[in-house]
Amino acid sequence: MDPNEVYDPPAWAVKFLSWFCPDALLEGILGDLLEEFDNNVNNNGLSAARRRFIYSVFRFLHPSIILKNRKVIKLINMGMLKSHLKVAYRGMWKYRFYSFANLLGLTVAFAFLLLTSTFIYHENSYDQFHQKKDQIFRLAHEVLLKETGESLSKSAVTPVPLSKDLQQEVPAITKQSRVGSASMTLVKDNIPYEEVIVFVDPDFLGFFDFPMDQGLPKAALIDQSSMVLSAEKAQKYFGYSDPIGQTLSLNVNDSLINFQVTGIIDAKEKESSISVPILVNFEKFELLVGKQAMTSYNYSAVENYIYVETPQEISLLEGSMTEAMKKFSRGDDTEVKIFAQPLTSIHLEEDVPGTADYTTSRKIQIMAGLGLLVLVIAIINYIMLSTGHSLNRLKELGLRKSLGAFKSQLRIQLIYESFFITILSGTLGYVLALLLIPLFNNLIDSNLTLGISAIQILVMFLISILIALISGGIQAVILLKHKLVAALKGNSAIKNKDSILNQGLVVLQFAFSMILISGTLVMRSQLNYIQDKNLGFDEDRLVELTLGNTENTETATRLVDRFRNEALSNSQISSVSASMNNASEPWTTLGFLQENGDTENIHYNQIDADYLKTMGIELTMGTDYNPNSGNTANDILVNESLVKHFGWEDPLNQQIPGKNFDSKHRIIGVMKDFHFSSLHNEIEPLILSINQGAVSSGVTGLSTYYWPPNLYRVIVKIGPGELTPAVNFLEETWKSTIPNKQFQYRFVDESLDQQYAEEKRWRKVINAASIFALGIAWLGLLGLTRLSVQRRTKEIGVRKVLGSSIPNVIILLSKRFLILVSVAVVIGIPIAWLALDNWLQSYPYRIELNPLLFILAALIVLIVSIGSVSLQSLKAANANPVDSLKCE
Amino acid sequence: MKETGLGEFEEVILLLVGILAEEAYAFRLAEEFESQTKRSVSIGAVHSSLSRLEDKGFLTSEMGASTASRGGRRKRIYSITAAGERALQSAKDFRVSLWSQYPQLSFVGILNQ
Repeated sequence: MDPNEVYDPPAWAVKFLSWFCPDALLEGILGDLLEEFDNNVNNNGLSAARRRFIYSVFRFLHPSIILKNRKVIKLINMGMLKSHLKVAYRGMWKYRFYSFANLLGLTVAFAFLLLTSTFIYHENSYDQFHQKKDQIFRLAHEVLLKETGESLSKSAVTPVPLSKDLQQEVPAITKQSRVGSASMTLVKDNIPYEEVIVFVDPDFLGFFDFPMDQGLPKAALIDQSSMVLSAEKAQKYFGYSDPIGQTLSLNVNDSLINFQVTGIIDAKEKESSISVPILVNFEKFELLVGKQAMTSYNYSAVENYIYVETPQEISLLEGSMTEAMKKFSRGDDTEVKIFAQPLTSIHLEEDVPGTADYTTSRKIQIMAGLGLLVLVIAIINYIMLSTGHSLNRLKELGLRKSLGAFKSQLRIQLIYESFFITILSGTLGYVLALLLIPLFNNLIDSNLTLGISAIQILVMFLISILIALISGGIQAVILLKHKLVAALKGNSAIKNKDSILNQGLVVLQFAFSMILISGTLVMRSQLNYIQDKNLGFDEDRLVELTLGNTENTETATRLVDRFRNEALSNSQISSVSASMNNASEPWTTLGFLQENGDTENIHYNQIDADYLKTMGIELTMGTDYNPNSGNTANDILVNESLVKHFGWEDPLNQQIPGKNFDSKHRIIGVMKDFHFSSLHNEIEPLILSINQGAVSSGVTGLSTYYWPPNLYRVIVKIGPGELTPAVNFLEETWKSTIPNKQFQYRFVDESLDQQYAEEKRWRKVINAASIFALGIAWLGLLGLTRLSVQRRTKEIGVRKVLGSSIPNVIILLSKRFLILVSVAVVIGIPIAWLALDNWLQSYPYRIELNPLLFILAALIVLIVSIGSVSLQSLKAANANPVDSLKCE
Repeated sequence: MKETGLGEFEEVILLLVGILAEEAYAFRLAEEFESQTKRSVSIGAVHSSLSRLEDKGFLTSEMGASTASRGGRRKRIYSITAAGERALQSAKDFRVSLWSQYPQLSFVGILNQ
């Protein structure tokens, strides 16, 4: 190395050091590093010295140095910050309209974002209150095709003995609990009440952390006759008196079984997927499902929960569940895989249905998407308005510049001002969200409270900073591009043209609005279509009464007959029937193993002879049940879909194919297809029979809400006339004929409507989002037009003096914006079309996308934007040209 | 060595500051540390130790005269305060008192190895 040559360390490293190192320390440190560098150049060569230099610089990237830095920066800038805030405040006051438009847009967007994020936060807070939540898993099973490994179904409803058997097999599972639930009749002081009873193992309260007001979690359910109530139920049955030790009875097959209350759970405040209204010992589940189901792998009836000491080994556990899997196997061409779901993910996994409450992740995505969309529209607005408006300030900035301000300082000032506004609107947004939350709860049918979490505050703060940086930055780039000092001289650099950026942003905003509005319109017409669709039966004036569990079909039939005889004495009651499944829940599916190893899954409902008449279902072939024809034990009714499925020319007297069938069942009639499940599903093959024994021999698989086959509900068709007296009459009749069951009724059309409650809710949310979005975009356009009108005041004056008419001026001013909006509409339509087409695909029964709806949406967007543009233009066009021209 | 609040590395640096006197700035200290202990150390580590000692009141620093070799940049020269002297002294006293209690036998044993 030539000692006289001067070598330099990497310039970027020096720059980097001076960036993060406070000035007070920089000189000494950099000097030391340079000395070391020179030393190293002489001893070890240039490249080694450079490497060492970089290494040393990074060794200084140390909290003790960087933190000193911040203090210094704050000290220096406090004074400037104050000045910036003052200027920002004055600026806002001087241009009240823009400040208002800016604040309003951002505030609304922040409020909407807060509401949606509260919703998302709430959905993610389920089951978090259990201390050992990471060690609790739910067992679920997946049915796969043996050959291809294709997944046929997943379910968290599993056989009763599963978790108990697994516990024997796998030592890592230290505790387990089955969770089975059923709607039953609870009796207190001889009055029957329909309640959902949850059957759990005694350990349930031990490893879950449901907070108990009274009673010991570990001991409350050990006794088979003990019962644990939720605080609400305790209040319902015992008011303010002490419920502990009191007796409640369950009606099981018409005999009463007594339970002592041993504990109270108060879990109102906790979000739990597993609902715990009334808990009893799991052994009692046998009374409901029978001895066989308690030990058999053929019936899936409960959810199984396990508690493991070492959750990280859960994947190993899944492998060792082979023995249980073999028991599970159905002996056809499918195999069953068991897997464990972490407790905390149950609420968010919709593809593994169980009895626990769950949400769909799509719902969360849509919410997040809407929140962000509205925010983006507001941010665009803000950026457009503030950049446009800040051109008014060229003189101020020019003055600052000529007094010696650096460009970087002006940039920081602009960013500070943006930050001031975003923080202000963040705070206002929070207040607005507080005001709006009851409305929002109403909209999505929930019970959220706006408890702001630290994360939300942090995110809001970060978003504020981000908006401030982006919009302040863009303003700075645009403004500082101008010759600021020239602006001082009066020949201002303001140009009439809006920037490409602004034009693009307007297009983006209105394209978003366009998409949301067409979404609202299409969702509305799809919903109307679904609700008005002919279901194939007459759901009007149809009432369902809950009969619940009875000993067997004979008992049920006897009760129904007694009720029917009384009820039909009233001429307003036209028909009474009974059935197993109801209108709102999925019907039973029976699996029939075929000779070739396939399984045919066919829906099933047990009915009585008056069913078709009561429901108004038409026959296309054959005959209905005739109560007088004697033996109907082998007669079944099927629907057209079933006939089509098997490709039968002459279905009458045919039998359902199946390997295990030994009965003499025969088809006596074919029903016209009717919608027995919601319109989310296509009509599938269906069998109806009075005697479930007609097809039971062929059944090899089963999925059902109600078991065993029986009549669980009474269906009544009410004829013309007032409904209220008819319902009152039914209640009287019920009380005199079936006194030990609670009278519970539901109109079928209402419960069918419930199936679409989700869609209705979403339509409302998207409605709100599109109103917000369009409103904000409207505000933005209003501001933008105003800016452009202001800039062209003189031009307009000159034009008017030269004889231009008012409409001419309006067209001149509005044309450009309306072209932009039209472009947005043209861009928005295909996107909206594709997205909505995709959404409609999830409905087997759907509307054709109607171009008229999109034209309507486009009209709405255009009218709104014409409204905002022409308002401003009209004002400018009407102004006296003398005023604008003499101001020089 | 609780009562002095000095770590081993800090104690060595403090001693070196005393030894180097007018030449006690970070680069020189790092060099001296390496030559005395045969352990390599970065200027950054020395610097953060120095500023810690300064915070504790054991050192003060001021900017020295500018030198050509450092691109005209001045050195930050460290010097020991009275409190620093006391801390070194008590650290030494503490060791001496420990050694005085140490069994003679094993001391001899070490020497004989």
